[in-house]
Amino acid sequence: MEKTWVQNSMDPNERQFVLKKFSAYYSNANIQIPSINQREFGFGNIKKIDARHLSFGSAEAFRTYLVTNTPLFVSHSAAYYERPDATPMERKGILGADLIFDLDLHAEGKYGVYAMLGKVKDDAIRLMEDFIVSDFGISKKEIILVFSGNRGYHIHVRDTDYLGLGSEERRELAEYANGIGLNYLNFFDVSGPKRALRIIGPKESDSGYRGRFAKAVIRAINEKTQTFSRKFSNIEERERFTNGIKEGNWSPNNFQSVQ
Amino acid sequence: MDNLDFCVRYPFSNAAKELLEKESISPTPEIMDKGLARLKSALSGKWMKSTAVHESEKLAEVASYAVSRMILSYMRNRYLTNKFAVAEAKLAHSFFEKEGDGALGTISEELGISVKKENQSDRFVTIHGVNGILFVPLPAYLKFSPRSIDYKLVNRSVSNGFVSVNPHERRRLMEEAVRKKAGEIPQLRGGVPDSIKKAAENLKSDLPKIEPQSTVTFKEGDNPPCMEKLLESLKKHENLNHQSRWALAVYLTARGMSVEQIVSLYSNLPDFNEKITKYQVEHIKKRGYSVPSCATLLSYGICCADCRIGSPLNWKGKVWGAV
Repeated sequence: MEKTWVQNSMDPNERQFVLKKFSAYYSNANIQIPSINQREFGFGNIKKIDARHLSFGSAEAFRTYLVTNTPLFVSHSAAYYERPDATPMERKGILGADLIFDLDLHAEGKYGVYAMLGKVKDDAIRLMEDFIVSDFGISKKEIILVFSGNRGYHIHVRDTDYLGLGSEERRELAEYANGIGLNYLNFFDVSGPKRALRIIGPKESDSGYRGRFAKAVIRAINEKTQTFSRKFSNIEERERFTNGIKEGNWSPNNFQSVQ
Repeated sequence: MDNLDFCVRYPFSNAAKELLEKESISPTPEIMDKGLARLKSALSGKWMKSTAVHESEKLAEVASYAVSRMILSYMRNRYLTNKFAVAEAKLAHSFFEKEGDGALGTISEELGISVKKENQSDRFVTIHGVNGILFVPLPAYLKFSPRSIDYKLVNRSVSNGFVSVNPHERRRLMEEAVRKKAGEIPQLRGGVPDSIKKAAENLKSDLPKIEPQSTVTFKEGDNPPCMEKLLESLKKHENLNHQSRWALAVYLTARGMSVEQIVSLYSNLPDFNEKITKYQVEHIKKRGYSVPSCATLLSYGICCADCRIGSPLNWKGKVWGAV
């Protein structure tokens, strides 16, 4: 759920001032909530959500409510429902839900996180560009990147092909992005006798983790040469091997001349 | 005729549905018997290939699938439904192997797996020299790939919204899609015909008298969330993949459960085979496998909570001695 944050402990004048500003903002705000009529809304003035199970037929009806009633907190469901205002939950009739990637930060102290938000933002952009767009093939038009209002960023994916995924399937995507369960040995195809091993592996230009793996190894060989092999201190040998990786050839005889 | 044979092979297809509507077939005693036989063979863990020769027999065969589902809808027995879904999926799979590209494409598409032969927008690699790589849209792959480490997304080639699979893997995805489709039983509309009630009575005597359950009972909170989840799935007669079955059996063995008790627990599985299960569980006991660590379970996709205990055996700070 998305939150609009305001400090809750303020004196009545401050409160009035804030509410006025909110109301003015809402009267012109660009409200971009796809299928708004299928979302459940929650509002709060004391807690983040004091009242929920509310729904609006259109963005304009939602705007009118915000301008007139101006709650301090507003949130909407990631899920789409047939009857968003029905209770209990089972009666709502779930139709699907946005795919949400949540990048939160945990740091010491109340303000510790703010100093580190830049890094989280970089991670969020990398997650969006390298994984969600490049690997999952989701168009940037279907993605919104939002500040969670507190300690991180949320990436909302509204591509209709993904809305119907269940929790297991969503977890699989999250594990993919985290690299959980990656077995890089699967990338390699080894053949030939021991003395003349032929190892075909991932290339730099490969998609997904294969390409990422090849790139990371080349980078590591160039940056931390000594930790790999003494052979690599010879720049020619090193280049011969890394050029081999670029082509997907990981065979040791690629640098056999110095063995 | 070709269409009729197609419908016999894939009675869950749209073509079969249309055929039944067009012919407006009413459930004759012969069709009822075939529907019942379909369920009985599923219950015994087998799947029967059709031996129908004449057109009317073939029609009855197609209709028997619908009748089986009506009986299931009336009985609302999850064990039987899952057994049926697994048997239908395996039966369909046995046809996929010999199916031509056209018909396979039709059925694949209907199941929600529209494959592409090549993706012009990106370059793909051929993994382990397997030819005929196909590309499955990611959402379909997620929905229908078996939950096993071989199919784990992180180890697949994923690009631009497509996952590459070989023809065998594509058929496996299709099998999973059939299992899901066959297992979704709609509510019966209107009154239940007596013939359905009679068939249900007949089947009840074939169902395990008391649903098989473990004799070792754990108290709530005795097991870590991952193992609890697997046990829960077993109780609901859901299918578990190989790694999950293995991990649970090793865990239960370490917790002191006997081979017989584990086999009895596993008899809840829709594709339960007593001989194979017994052999596997005895093997686990003989080899004395150690319980997989949390890291291993995470890589298998079994871990479902962040309990930070290192091993499922460390749950609640207790260490249960291995047998």
